[in-house]
Amino acid sequence: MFLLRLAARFLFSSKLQTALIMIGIGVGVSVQIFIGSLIEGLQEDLIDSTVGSRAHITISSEERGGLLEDDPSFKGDVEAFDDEIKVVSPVLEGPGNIDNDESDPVIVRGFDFDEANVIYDFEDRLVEGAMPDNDGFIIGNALADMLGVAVGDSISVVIPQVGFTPIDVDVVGIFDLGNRTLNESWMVTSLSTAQALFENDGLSAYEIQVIDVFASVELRDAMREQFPGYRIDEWQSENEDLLAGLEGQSISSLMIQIFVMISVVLGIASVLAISVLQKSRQLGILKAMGITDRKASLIFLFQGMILGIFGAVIGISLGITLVYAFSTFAVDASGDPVVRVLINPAFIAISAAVAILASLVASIIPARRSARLNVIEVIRNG
Amino acid sequence: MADYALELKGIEKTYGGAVPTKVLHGIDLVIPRHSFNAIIGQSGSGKSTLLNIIGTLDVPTSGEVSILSRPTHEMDKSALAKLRNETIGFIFQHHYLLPEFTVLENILMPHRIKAGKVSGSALKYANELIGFVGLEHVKNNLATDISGGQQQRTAIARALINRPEIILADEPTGSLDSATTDKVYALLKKINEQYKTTFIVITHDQNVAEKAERIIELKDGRIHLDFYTK
Ligand SMILES: Nc1ncnc2c1ncn2[C@@H]1O[C@H](COP(=O)(O)OP(=O)(O)OP(=O)(O)O)[C@@H](O)[C@H]1O
Ligand SMILES: [Mg+2]
Repeated sequence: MFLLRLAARFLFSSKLQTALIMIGIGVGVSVQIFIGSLIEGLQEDLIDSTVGSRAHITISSEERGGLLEDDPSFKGDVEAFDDEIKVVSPVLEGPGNIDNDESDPVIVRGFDFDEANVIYDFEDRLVEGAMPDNDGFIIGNALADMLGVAVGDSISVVIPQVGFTPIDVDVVGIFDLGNRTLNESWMVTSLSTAQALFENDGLSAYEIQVIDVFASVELRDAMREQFPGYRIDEWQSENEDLLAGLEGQSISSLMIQIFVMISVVLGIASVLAISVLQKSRQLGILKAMGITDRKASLIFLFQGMILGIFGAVIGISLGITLVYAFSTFAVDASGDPVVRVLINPAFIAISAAVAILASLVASIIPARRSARLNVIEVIRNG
Repeated sequence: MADYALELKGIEKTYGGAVPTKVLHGIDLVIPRHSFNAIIGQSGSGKSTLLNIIGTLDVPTSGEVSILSRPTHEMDKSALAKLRNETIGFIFQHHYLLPEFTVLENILMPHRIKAGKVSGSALKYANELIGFVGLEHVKNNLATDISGGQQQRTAIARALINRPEIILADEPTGSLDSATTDKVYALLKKINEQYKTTFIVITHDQNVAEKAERIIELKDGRIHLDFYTK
């Protein structure tokens, strides 16, 4: 198309200026992509470490400390309640104390590991030993350090609910759940062992994980309706601070991106405004030869578009390189990236589209100026 | 009426500002088709102002311009742009080529504006014109990489590409030496005869003016003399 070629030729004739503004747009876009990916990665990490290994929804007894019946058909109903539900894991838990001078408090938790591993992934988080097959226990690494026990040792615990005689249990494995409180206090065993220990056949709760962690509130409300007579909680209401923090982070990331875009727009607008002045002679000639004002202004819109497209391409390559470099070189002692940076194609596409749109917007003023340019001024002033 | 290239009625032009200056005082003029006309007059007499009004690049303060029987004061800006593109070729004192483009591309520019893309026949005609003005060996040079005379000849070929009815030239040889000036005028005459194009040429050069069939002399914004040379 003729006008597009004119626009391209005008840009190409001032190579340095064109290159600089394209790089300018590119840097803007790459900063956007980098910051966006970084924040998104940070947030995913944060959400993952907060809720990745915990229950999103728990069903427990309405009375505090009360127990539920261990009822497989109820469990089946919950599992079938919604496609969002990933796993329903029964648990029986209760307090205990180590039989030592400090009477260190612990929480004994009995799981069905087929299901519990979906949530807590004990299997992969074992640092020593093996999963409990029958009546063995696995404990957190912090607790093991504190008590000075290793795999194969046994621990004496008192279960206040059933009496004050210490009971000896075998440690068959040591886990690291990545959370100090849990690593210090949890003693994990099979559900049947826990039931034997607590001398009852009930459950403390059903722990549920869902696929979309932010669907938990809606799901809880629906479940409360469907399963009356239970206490049903979900993670978001207990983590409002975290969610507010995430929100704040998203907003500041958006602000940064908006300001980057504004500076890109101002950059393009000023370059194109200068370009109208530089090319006013050419525009005058073209108008004398019969180009319409509308077409004269299109030339500058096309220039904006070309700058935007090439700038976006430069920006995407630079941005991805930055993200890649960051996750390759910014690593912690164990070689894992400090932050797991996420490359989100949709986000990149949006930021490229915004850059192109911004370039078009930036070219509106120069385009209008070029439409208004008067031939006679140009012809008279040579 | 149909056979007039141009018809001017009561053209006046006043430039605004703190002290308005009236530059043209009621010009009436009829230019027949296929004619070769020279406009002469002292510097500041209003020649360029008149020519720019004729070419619809400027608007008169009052009065009417008709081009090929079409009243231009009734047309909007984009209709005027189309009219200029299709019926008028401009040659200015400075060549006003687009420096970003080659000789051939510059010559094809009015055609591109008109048609959007270059047809085979237009390209053929452009090459014919290039031969006509003797630019074969520089046709792919950038417009800035040729001599002044070559630039002016490029501008002439460009003015011709859309086969306009009328060519308006404002001191087309003002920046050329006398030998080249003679060559350019011989060329314009040849075009006038071969393509039946109507010419209005502003010149300072008495020798040149005398080669025109009609000479119109402006003085202080009025037609002072208007006569045929033969
Ligand atoms: N924009 C303007 N504002 C005010 N006066 C102007 C303007 N343009 C031209 N003039 C005046 O109009 C008069 C005619 O100018 P014009 O350019 O038509 O003269 P000209 O006959 O072409 O002269 P030259 O032979 O030097 O080219 C001059 O006195 C000039 O100063
Ligand atoms: Mg003049």
